[in-house]
Amino acid sequence: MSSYTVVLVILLSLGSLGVVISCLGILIMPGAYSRLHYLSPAATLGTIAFAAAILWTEGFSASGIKALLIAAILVSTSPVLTHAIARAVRIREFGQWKVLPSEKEE
Amino acid sequence: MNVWFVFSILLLLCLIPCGLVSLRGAVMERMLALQTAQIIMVFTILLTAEGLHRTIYQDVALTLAIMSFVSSLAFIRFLERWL
Repeated sequence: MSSYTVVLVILLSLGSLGVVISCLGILIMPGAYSRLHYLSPAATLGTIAFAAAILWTEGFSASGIKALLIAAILVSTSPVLTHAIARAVRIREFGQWKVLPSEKEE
Repeated sequence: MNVWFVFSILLLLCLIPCGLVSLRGAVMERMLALQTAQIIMVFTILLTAEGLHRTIYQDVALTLAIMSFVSSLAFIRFLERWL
């Protein structure tokens, strides 16, 4: 097994690990707020590892740059989505997202 | 059957938990599972394109990455108050 294959399998395994953690977290954790945390392993660890694997194979060709572009899009949009979903959950729960008078610290 | 296909099949199996959560639970949890499934699908298409040596198929993954963001924002906007 060449060193190329070893590095490739390690990168792909890291990415798959992120995705598997994400899936299991989504399946197991109770409630929307806890599940929200498990969106990021797939979107950060998974994306970066898979993009690195493609870049390792292809180099900076059209294919490698496209993988980098996908990684950049997913990494930058995932926090926005997480925030938007958390906001939506709170609005569904309380009717507004601002701090309620009962939650203010004295 | 190369290493790319093995990992894309693994990723396809990861869609099953997301599907299960999408079928039960509160509305926002379903939305969350749908979003995770979209990210996993982007990866699956990316790895399959690499395994088939077809660069052009990566455009599908790129488009899905952009469209999933836009569609999720639209869904979330309506789920906040009206649905």
